[in-house]
Amino acid sequence: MSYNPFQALDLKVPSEFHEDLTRFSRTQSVAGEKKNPLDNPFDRYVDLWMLGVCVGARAGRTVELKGPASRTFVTGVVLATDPDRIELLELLAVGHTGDPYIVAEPRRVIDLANGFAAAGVPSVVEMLKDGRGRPLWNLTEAVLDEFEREPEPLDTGAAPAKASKKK
Amino acid sequence: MLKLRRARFSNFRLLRDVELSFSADDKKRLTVIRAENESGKTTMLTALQWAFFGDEALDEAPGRPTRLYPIDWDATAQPTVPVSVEVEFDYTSETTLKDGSSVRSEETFLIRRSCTEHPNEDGAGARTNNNLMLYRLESKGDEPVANPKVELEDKFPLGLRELFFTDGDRAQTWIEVGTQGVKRARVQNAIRSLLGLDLIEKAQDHVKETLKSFNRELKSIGPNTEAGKLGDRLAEIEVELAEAEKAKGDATEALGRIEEQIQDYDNRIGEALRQGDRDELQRQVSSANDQLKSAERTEVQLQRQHSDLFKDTSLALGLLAPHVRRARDLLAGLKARGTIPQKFLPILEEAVDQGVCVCGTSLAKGTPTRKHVCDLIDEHKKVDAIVDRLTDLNVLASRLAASLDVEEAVGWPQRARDSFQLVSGAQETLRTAQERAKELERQLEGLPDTAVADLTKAKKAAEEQRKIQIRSEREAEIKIHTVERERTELTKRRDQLLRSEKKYARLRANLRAAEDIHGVLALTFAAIQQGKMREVSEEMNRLFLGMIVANTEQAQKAIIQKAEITDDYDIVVTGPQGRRLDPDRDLNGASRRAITLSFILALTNVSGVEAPNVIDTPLGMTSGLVRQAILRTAAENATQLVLFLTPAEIRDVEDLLDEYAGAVWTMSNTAHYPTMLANEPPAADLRVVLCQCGHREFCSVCERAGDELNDRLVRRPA
Repeated sequence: MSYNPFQALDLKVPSEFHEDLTRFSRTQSVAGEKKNPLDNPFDRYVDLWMLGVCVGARAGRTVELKGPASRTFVTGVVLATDPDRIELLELLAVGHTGDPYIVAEPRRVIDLANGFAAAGVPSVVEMLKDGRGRPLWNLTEAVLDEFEREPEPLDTGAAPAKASKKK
Repeated sequence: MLKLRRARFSNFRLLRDVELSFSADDKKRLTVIRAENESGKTTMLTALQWAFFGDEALDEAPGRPTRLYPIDWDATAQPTVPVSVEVEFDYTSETTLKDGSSVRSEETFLIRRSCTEHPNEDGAGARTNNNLMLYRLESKGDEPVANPKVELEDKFPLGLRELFFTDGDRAQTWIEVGTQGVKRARVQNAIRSLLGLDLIEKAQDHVKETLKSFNRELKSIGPNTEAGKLGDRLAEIEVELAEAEKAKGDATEALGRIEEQIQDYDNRIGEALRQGDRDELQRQVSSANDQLKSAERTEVQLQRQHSDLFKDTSLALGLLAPHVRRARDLLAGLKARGTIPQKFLPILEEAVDQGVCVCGTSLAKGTPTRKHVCDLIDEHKKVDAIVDRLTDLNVLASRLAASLDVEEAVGWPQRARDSFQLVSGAQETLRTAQERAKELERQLEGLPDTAVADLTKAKKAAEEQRKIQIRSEREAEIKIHTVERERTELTKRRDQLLRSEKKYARLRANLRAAEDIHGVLALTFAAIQQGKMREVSEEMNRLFLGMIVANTEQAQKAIIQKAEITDDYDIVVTGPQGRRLDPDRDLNGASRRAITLSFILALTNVSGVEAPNVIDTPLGMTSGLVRQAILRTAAENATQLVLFLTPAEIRDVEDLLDEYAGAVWTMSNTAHYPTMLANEPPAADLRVVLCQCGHREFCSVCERAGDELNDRLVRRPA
């Protein structure tokens, strides 16, 4: 079995954006529903979530969601289908916290990613809706603009990398 | 850009069975619907709004639904009335990247809004089965759109309703009815909606709706009442499910038959065409259809490939570049300090195997030193997995960071641009293939072989039937799914009710916080709003002066010099020496109407929102040159213009209608026979009947009894 420290953990989005997850992904929510890449650019919910994580992290924004404000849409099992994402989530956590040993605490890594997603998913939904074109083209245009913007600088003044290794 | 194509009304008040098309011609953008008073103009305006916006467009008093069904409906013969409105419209959008490549989306949609009304003695009645379906019309069949309400709201927000659907008589209320505060609010709301700044209001509405729903939920926890209601509803659900399953089965069966028919027609057409010199055309048709299908497949495939870019690792890697580089540096630091990879453990294990420590001490079995070293090994093995992972990540981070330096030049953005251009090119190929296939179809239809022509016609009819059956099948599937979901939810509801009170209190606190945030955002947006308002003000002044300057008498006296919107959202008109004019006292009816229409057109022009303007009686209270100027200005500034005009309003503007109108219809009310209509109508009940008479014509349906207007019209050939 491939390496997946997140398989028992929940992936979450803000509750009010859960409907957008179904709207913009090709996972069927209603029997007989036909979906297409133009209006439903994401293959699965997790693809939108992952882009939300990246957009939130790049902007240096994180939101803490608790209780009914957040909604679990799947568990981390889904990440096993794309091991690159597991590695990128770990590198994101290391890069953001400055603490390499955070990889020993998968829950912290996923909490951090969920926090970025909570900030980034609303932006992604706005990218999909904002524009005169179909959602796929709106998103393309907006993500290309995102690449042209300077990312928020990382806070390297925080506590330096220190071993929080459990003995 | 949104453009109306066709509408059909069924049992909507006196519009019992009316279907008409709108002019979609870019050069003749005007559609005129001519009708005397009480002949369905306002009803049709309301019905169109109902199709787009639902019951909110009916302006009903809470708890008192207005009647939609025909007033003379015979409820003893048929106790329920199926009411529906269908509107077909084009929606065009274009996305252009900074490098100039663009993709254009041209779609045609069909809205079908329906309900069932239950007439009662007082003339009102309950409304049930409210249903909204939105279909995307495609060559291979109509596809129902998921979340039709959300999709419609995206394309045509409710806030724009009064701007694009305007009642000329009510339009004057913009400047002359209500307190100053009310008037300001109207102007302010219109500007906000058109400039897309109503998102914040929507958020606020969302919060309010959530509160309402919790209130309702709380109230519904009444002892002994909820269980009964749930039982009744569950019984209804079983009946609805059985009906929907039967409808689905019927549709599937019919589809099978139709498919066989179409195949049979294809065979017979192919057989007929294989004779004589039609062989070549048959081959060309076949080849063009193959090319078209191939182009369609290619476009869909490229769209899917493009969407796959959004789950590609290179996208995440590009966006997370700063984090990956920093992680690389941190992990490299661990390696430089010798923390990774693990070196200590293999040395200790080897020493235990050999029974001698690196310092020469004996590690023979049973010695305390050997036990100490073994304990040490066990302890380190616990953290070994983490060190292994960090070692792997170090290698990975180095590789990814190195690839980033290359990737930034040719990474995700370049791949996205290349893919976008491929789709753009495929669209062009598809358009060419469509034109080629259409041309050959036209040639095929023109063949003087009646057998082929008849078969082709019969095949087309069968294909239409197939679309209808596919739609029925989909509707039934959706109904089954919806009802099954409702059944599942009802069984859970009791538990939810018990928890709801606590949940309500918590959510109310959250919602209050959201409302506070909304207030702060509203202040920020007000600043943006005012800048755009100045543009609207200047455009309104230009259009308004264009409309009233045509009145030479007024131009000479120059009573009206300027119209503007103040920072307080007042629409004011000034005369000589900047003196403010009172719209109620100093402006005549025509000027009041002109200023309202100018405001509406200015807003739509500045916002860049391209949608039809549908206006009822825009020229009432106007005459002569002002009337002509208003019509000309509206026709030249609207994307698509639909005007409901009385015959009296048409006087003096016939020549302009010749120039601008791409479609003209006439509506008559059967109730007007014999007092106002000359001939007995084709139907005995009260209804609006439609004929294709233009603004200079009359026919047996619309001929007026003893009306002098007839003298200016000519009889339309039957």
